[in-house]
Amino acid sequence: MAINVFVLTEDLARLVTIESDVNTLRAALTPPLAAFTSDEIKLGTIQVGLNALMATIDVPNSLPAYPLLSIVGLPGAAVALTPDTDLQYYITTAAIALSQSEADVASLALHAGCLMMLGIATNAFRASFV
Amino acid sequence: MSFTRTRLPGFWTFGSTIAPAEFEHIDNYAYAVDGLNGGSYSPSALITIGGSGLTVAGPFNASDAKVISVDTTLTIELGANLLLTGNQIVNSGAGVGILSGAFLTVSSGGTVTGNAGSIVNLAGTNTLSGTTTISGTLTCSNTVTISGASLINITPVRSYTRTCGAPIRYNTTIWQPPTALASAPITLAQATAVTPGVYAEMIEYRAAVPETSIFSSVSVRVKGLAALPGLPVLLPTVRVVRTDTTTGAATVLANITDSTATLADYKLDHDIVVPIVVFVDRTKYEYLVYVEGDSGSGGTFGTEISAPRMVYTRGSIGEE
Repeated sequence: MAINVFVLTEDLARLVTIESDVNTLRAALTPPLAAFTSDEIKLGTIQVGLNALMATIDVPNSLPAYPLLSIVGLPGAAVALTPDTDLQYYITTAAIALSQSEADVASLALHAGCLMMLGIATNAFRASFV
Repeated sequence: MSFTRTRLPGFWTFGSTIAPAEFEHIDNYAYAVDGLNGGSYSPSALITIGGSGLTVAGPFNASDAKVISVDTTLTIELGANLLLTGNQIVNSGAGVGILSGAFLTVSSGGTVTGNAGSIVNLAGTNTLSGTTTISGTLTCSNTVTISGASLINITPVRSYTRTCGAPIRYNTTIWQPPTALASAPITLAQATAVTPGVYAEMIEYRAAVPETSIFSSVSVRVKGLAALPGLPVLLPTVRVVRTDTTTGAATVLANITDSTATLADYKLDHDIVVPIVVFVDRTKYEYLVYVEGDSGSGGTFGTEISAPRMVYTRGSIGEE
């Protein structure tokens, strides 16, 4: 089932870099793997962000304080993405744990994943963001 | 399933930040099977290996009682063996097939047992070359053929032994008459040995075997004279004769000579046993036992003959 993920405008350029880096690496693997599509890159980045979001030792007490991207008001646009079964399971689990909607969790995770993939943040979130 | 990818292939790019949770996930390798040092593992769920299957090049030990389940065929390759140190159980409805060209061998000391209530069907050609004992009821609903030099020796559990009673005919100048019961020995009375093969020198007994019985043997106890200097050349002989009561024709059923080999043994009580297998028909025949004493060089008076004992079993009459 598709989730309307809010993609920040600032993350669009990051996603392009990520797509290039990831597909370059996939082509270099043995055996070489096919390139991900842009939507698959977004879903993979959501997965990376969820890994940090669900960390039980990484600022767990601040989880309820994560603001919803839609409330912060940063520019962006919704993109309908359909995660696979495993990723959908983790999005659902996180949504239940955080008492948030799946769309909000996925949007937050996508942003966190972009920062992690490019080594911008160690805790996955900008200090001014919280 | 514990082993899932932390990130999709290709997402571990150079410079990307790794979250502690990702390392926690990677550390699940601790649950992996150590292919170098081995170990003991207790998975909480079944491990299913499909695909190309599993080959074990070293020992394979299944220590649980019901761990090997084969859905198609378990093949023991040529040159390999299936060794069972416990029991092999074939469940109800299952079968063990020995195909054409294959064989089942029970080695010396091994046992094949069919418990009460079991059924063994032998529809092919069967050969019993060893000693075969039948302790239960044997029913033959078809023809039983005994050919060649085969002999049927019937030694039933419920057999009967009866003495032949007093002699019915004997030469009184040669044989001392019995002075006591029929079981008392009769001794040769004359000073010289008997002439072999002459009726007059023989003692004759009637074998009063009951009608519809199977006459299986006669035994006569013999004892040589204590002062005998040497083993007689011709030792005592026992002969069982069936005489047709209508025609008088006599048929020798069996004829056995004492086989004692030494003088010392001949001077001891010993039995001459004459095996016979014949269905008794008293409506047609009379059964007689003849005993001839020792004779020829060394034969002498004083040899003791005890009244013959006949062994028979009661049963249904059969044609010879």
